[in-house]
Amino acid sequence: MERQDANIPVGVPLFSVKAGTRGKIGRIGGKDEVRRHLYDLGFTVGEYLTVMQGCGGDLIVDIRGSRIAIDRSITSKIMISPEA
Amino acid sequence: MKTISLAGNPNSGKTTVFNKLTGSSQRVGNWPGVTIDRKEGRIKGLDSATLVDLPGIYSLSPYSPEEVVSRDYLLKERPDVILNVVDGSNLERNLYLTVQLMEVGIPVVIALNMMDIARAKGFEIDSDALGNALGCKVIEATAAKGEGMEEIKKAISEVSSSDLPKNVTFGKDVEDVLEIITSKLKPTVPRDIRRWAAVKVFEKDASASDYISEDVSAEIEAIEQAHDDISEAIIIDQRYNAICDIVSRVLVMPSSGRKKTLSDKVDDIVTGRILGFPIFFGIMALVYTIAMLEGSPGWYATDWLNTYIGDEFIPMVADWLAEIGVEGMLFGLIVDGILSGVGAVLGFLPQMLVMFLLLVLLEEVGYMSRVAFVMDRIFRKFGLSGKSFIPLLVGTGCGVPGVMASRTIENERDRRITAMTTTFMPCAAKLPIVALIAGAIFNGNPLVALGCYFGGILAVLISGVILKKFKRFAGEPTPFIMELPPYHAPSVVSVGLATLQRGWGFVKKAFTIVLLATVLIWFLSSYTWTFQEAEIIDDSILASIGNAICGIFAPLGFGNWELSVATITGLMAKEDLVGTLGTIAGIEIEEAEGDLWLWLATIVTPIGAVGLLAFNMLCAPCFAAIGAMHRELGGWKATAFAVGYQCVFAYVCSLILVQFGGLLFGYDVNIGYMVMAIVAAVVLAYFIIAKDPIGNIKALAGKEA
Repeated sequence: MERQDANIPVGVPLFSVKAGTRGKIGRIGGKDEVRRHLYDLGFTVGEYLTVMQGCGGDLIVDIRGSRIAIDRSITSKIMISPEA
Repeated sequence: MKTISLAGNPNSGKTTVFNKLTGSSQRVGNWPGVTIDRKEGRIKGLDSATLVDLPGIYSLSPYSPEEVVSRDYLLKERPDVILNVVDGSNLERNLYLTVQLMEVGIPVVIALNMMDIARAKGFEIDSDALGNALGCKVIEATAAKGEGMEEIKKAISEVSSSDLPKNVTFGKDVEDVLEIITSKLKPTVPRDIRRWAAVKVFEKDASASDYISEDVSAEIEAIEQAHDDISEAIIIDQRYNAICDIVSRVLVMPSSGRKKTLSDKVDDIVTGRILGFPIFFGIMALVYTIAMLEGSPGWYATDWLNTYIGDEFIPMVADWLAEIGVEGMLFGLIVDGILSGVGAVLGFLPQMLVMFLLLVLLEEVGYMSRVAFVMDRIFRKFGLSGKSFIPLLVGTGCGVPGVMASRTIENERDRRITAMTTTFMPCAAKLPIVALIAGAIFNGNPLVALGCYFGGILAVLISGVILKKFKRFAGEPTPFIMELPPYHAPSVVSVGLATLQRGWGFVKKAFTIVLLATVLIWFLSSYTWTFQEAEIIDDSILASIGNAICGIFAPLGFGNWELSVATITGLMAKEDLVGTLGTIAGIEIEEAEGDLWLWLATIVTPIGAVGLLAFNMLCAPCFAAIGAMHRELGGWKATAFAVGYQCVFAYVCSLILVQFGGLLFGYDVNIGYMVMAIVAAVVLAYFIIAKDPIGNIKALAGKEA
């Protein structure tokens, strides 16, 4: 349960990964209120998400068991380190 | 008197629980944000207990305006009990709100809802263990099937004000800081909310100064350094950690949890980049075809009902009235006024019911949030967000809730643009106009209705581009973040009820606002200014009013007084346009068997009908919708601007359509009108293309002055 921020590589922008990719969130950028909303939805640093489908930056991701649709303005600000 | 408030994530089934417990029938739907205002009801079988339904929230830090309603109610009005509805098939994310509710200092009862879905997914939840971990009662329920409702009532009636839930424990370092903060809180902070207050101070919330006067910034900064994160994010992370810990103890999930579900597979297709939009277009085309196409069930039933009303029902009543000695003015009022007017509107009921049924089905299944996601790609190119699409979908039923649904958009500028343009969609009240024109002029071609639907969307997009050029609306579109709830099979009962409810609304309107309008129209069209009975309708008050204003509409192809007057009465309710034409036709046509549809075809050309339709789809909505716009825009000045914009935009669009369309299809060209149309087209194009049209115009005006 310990956070290990220092050990998490920041990674690549979420929009650049292919459907089916699972990865660990390294950083969430963007405006405060948007970031806060993403945190509330379960997008926290160190948590895993899976890209269910999408292309061109608009994605549907699985985070903590729910499906969230996000557009490019968001996926370009979430950095993940994909699992090998 | 006990007040119980529902609280829970969007789409966790709060309104379904509310309906089951109170016996009411508030609108439910399978997309986030169906409930946008608070609703109250009495719990059946529990004396003096009021249940309050609130918009769904993901946390107690609201993101969009409708979420503020919930937060404020829970924190400021403080209900006696919070009934937290938790989606059992999505525990982790739902419990995030729960742990925040635990801190508020109000007894909590948890309804672990959607247990049927959770069980189908192979989840085993130990609800007693969950209750022990949280320190409150947890009731397993499947509200859609009515399961668990008695247990919920029992739990609510048994809970006492001292049954406060536990607070979840965070990591030691965070708890240490919270302890320091708690010890320094103002003594006036009540015991029940000291934990809440300490967390707010830790998060550096705006309300912190209400709770503390001493400076604790050093302690908070130290822990921010240690965690390399802002304090707000630390708390969120701690909450999720605590939840993961609880969930790992109470939930057994099958190991194949990451597999694609059926919902995911459907989404692969319907939200796909290439097929997404064509599928949506196809579905809407199908909806309107089933309801409108000649020979379709909707068309057939409407045709039958219209014929029955016109050829049998009205003559029957007329004969009966004549028999019992009703004649003259009263006879005219009833037969030509009310029956012809209200009948003209009611005749469309079958098509309405078919439309309502199909739209309710789409809502229930859960397709609507997907369409918003698909449309986001298109809307973004026009400077709007797919979030604006939900109000448009709701507005297809009725503009009033459509305008109100703009509250789910967090960005104020986008919210205002959406509230101003939602009524471009063909709402249920406009459908009789569409059906009348399609039926009377275009042989029931479903393309007319489909054109109104996608024309409405196009009008919203063009308006997005134009309005974003005004400084007060300029800016980036709202980011699109939306939960896509799993699809589910619609329940026959709830689809049937929702369809009948909307159908009943349509009938009720026909017998109230349409009936009143037809009485007024009958009077105005039967009498002259000196209150003599008009020999012919052209001498009537109504004709003279119509003749005075019809010049305005002549460039739009419907410059006769009947259609001009009908357009004006559409302000009261859009169906009134049809009701008014029904009444006028009832008087103008000597014999009762005269047919409104045939009559209409004699007073307007097909291109004029296009103008009539386009103008009435886009112009100022009914007074009820203008009222809703006023509430959302917050002022008469902004409302006047919105209504003015709608009317000018409607006029410009219809003018261009009618004049250029007329040229294309070989109608006689009126040079004056054509010049107007060309000027309008140039101005419209300039507003769409130019970077700063308003600035340019101001600069030009400045130079000349």
